[in-house]
Amino acid sequence: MYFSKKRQAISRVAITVIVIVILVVAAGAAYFALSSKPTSTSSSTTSSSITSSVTSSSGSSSVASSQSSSSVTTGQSSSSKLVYERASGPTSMDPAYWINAASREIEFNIYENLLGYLGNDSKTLVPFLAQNYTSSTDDLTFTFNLRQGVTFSDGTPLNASAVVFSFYRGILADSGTSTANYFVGTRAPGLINGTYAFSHTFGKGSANYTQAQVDALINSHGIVVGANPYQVVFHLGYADPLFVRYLAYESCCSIVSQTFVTSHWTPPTNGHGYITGASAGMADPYMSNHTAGTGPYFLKSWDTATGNVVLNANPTYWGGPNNTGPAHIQEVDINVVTSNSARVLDLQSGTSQIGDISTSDYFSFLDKTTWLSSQKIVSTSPSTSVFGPYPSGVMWYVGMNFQIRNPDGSIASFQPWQNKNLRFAMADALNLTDIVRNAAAGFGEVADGPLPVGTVYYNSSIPTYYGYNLAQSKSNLTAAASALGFSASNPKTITFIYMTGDNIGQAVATEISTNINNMNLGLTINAVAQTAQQEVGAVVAGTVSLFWLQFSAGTPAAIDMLIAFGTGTTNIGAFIHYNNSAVKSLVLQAASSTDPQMTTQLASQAISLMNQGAEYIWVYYPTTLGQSGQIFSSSVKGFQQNVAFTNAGLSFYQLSLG
Amino acid sequence: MRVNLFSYVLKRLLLLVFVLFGISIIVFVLSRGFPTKYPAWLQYVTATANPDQIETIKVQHGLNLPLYEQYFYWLKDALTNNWGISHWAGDQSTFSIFQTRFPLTVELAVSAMILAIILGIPLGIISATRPNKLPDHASRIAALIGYSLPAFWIGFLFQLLFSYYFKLWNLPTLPSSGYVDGHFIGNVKVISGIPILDAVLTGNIPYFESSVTHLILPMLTLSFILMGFLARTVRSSMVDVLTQDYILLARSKGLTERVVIYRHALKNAIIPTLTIGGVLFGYIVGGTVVIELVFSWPGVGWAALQAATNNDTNFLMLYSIVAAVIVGIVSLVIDVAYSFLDPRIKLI
Repeated sequence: MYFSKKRQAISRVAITVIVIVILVVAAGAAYFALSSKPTSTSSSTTSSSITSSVTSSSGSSSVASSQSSSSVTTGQSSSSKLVYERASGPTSMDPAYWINAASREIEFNIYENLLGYLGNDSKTLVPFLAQNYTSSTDDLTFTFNLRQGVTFSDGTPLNASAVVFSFYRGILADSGTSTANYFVGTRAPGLINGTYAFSHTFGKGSANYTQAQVDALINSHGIVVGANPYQVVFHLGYADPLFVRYLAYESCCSIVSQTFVTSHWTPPTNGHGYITGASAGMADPYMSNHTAGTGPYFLKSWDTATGNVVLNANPTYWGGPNNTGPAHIQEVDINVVTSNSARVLDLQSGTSQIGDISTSDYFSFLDKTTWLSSQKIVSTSPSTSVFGPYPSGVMWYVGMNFQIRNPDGSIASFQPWQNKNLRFAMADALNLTDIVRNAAAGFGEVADGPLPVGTVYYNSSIPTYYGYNLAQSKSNLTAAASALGFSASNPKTITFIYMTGDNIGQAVATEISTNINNMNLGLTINAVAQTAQQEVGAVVAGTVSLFWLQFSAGTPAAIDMLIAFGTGTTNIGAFIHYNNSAVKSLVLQAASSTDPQMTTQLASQAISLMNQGAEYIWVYYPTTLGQSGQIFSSSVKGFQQNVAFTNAGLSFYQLSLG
Repeated sequence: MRVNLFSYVLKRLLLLVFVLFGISIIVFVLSRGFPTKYPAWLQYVTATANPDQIETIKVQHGLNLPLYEQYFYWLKDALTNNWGISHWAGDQSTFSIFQTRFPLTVELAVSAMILAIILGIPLGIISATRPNKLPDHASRIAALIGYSLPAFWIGFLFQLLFSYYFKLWNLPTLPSSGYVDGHFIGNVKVISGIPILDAVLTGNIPYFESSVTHLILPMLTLSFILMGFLARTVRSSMVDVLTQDYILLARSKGLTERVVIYRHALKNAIIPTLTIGGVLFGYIVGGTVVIELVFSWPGVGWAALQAATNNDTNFLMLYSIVAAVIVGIVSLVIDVAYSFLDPRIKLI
């Protein structure tokens, strides 16, 4: 009894300790919570200093912009600040590169191109930094007259010299993700004169990037200052009807302040050639985290640890082609919130005004029954606005590798995809309508070719020659078994790769593998999830067999997609050793045609031929809410989706808060 | 004892060097030494790379050399604190990424561990001293919930309550993501990289408040899980110790129950808890990926996940080495602590 009482005393003491601790913690939490703003997020900002930061290389984690004024007016009300939550953050701000979607979206709001698009019109090219342009009759010379009075955020004026510098900067970088990607072209002397001989990545240039090579590039006069300081002339190596569209492509060709870049540049010490301000074959580390554009926003701060970015409205912005003045929203906080659930909650509670919402969470904001039954968007909350669905400019497909390699680089002994019956067996084993309706929740359309809905040369009447039919699939598989030598007694296995977390890819892979495996004809398909990097790596290395992947339209014309799939000389077609000379011929003719109707016709013929051989299984064109998966607070006004901005992202300039 | 302790610590540290050497070889060989679909050059590849470009990349990064040469170059660089660059992070120095993010993980891990100890040990004592009574049942249920529920689920519930529902109910809220308010970035002096510590050292009260409010939810989530393990361990070892003869003798000598429990029983009962706690601490300092992802806490766990998914062998090597150092040091501290708690344990 004595000891029991003593134990109770001890327990009371212990309980008391715990209760006191909990009370202290709760009191502390309440105190700090009470002292924090109601719209507390990780990015509320009132700082006036925009130059007080250090680069991440010295251990600190923020960078700042190059705005020439020493301070920014503070005291902005919360209605002039927009919080946008994304799943991932930027890794570089250099406009000469396309690094990732987050980087490009921010650059899209800081930098501008010679040409562009307005509103939701993805077909009409609008002069932006160029006032107008002319072309020679042979389409080999383009002359652009620049707008005058436009300044960069560092205060220096836009002029032809800056434009020439910006393009050569991207070409000299010669990276697979740089401007060079679009202007080196496919043959000598390059789309822009001299680029093919220079580029090691896309042309015949040396990997040493000697000064002689650089000098030869410049002396080819591919891009030069024209008759006055506001005139730029492009000399093309061959005519390309897409050239002007490339100039509007938001993933390249942005114009940067030459003064700013040059003042922070040092010549290379590795023997590479250079022009003042840009080294050949090398990235510019300073420009990866500093900006100087003409756009409606400038970079206020970037926390490289979290990826959070703050953009401030550029008070000296020239107003755009419609002269609509500076941006309505003074500050945009772009926060990285990796958790889908957290982004949904923050948008619903009003902590954020725009959220990148994954397709699986769409029905947190719109009525699912109404959508599935009648494809109508009905928002479930008065505090959010759901815009869409819109074409996304994306196409998902099942690819087959026509020359599979082993990890050591040797050619694999089992090469199944040359067999047309096997390809059709796969295609007939997939119920595309079911995938779109159920796996994609109706956010998409069944695909019939590589050119997505909404692109210029899309043709809705191209037949696919395959459809969900298991009996037909089995018949084709039986024929393939005989030709390829697999059977129940001599089984073969194929791996079908899709990306981790991609539920639609998983559904496609599972459906095909289940249907084929159930036929018990000796072929087993293993559906395997991998990271995006692993899958792309396997495709590039040629070790992949069957895979699920997407392609985005590079421009509204999307001819680059047709070239990628149909020529076998670049991108996906090269990786999988695609080799259909008839298709290739048609694609090249389509790419060089200057008659849109002829281009559409040739493209359609090429795609029809591909479909006759089931050389790819086109699955669906996803549709999207917002620009690329965004849902908005109802306080956000002015949004217009433009499929031309698929690779660019959201334009904050068009938005206002009300 | 002092001489023994010193020589013991020195011996363990020397052994740790060999352990690190071995770990570096193992991780290096595993990441670069086998034919694989996901080789080390993969992180530098773009979708448009052709075989020539891949060869150029290999030469640029020394990936075409024999494995042992690659290792010696890596070792030489590591000994001069050059851990390479991380392509997924925009070609930033791997070390600078680690340097920026590791202190944030330390802040989260240490605070969560402290809270878990403050709550978990008393909970375990309550359970043990009132076995099969209501406080014991309540304590055990709380501990069970703590280590049974998935971390992301606990975190999400906290976000739902403190960030969403509190806002709907017009109550003060706590931030659901990030480690500090954005306007502090670039405007505060960074000394240790641990926001709370830097705020204290610089006397920056607003920064301190912001750091603490952002820390609360992830810390509560992590400590809730840790508390479960600690409480359960303390309870089971305390129950065992309380049945020992020397406890009965202590009581029969007339010692107060407080003295019996805290001076005699707890010292022996805490030993297994020390082991568990040390292992857990080493684990969470290595990076609690799930917590960091749920709360967008930019710690080293999140970075390691990004590195792993982007084939960044540079970061993974550094991460492995540091994790091994932490585990080694924590083990050493625990072993030394054993000798203080139980004189029967000799350091050899």
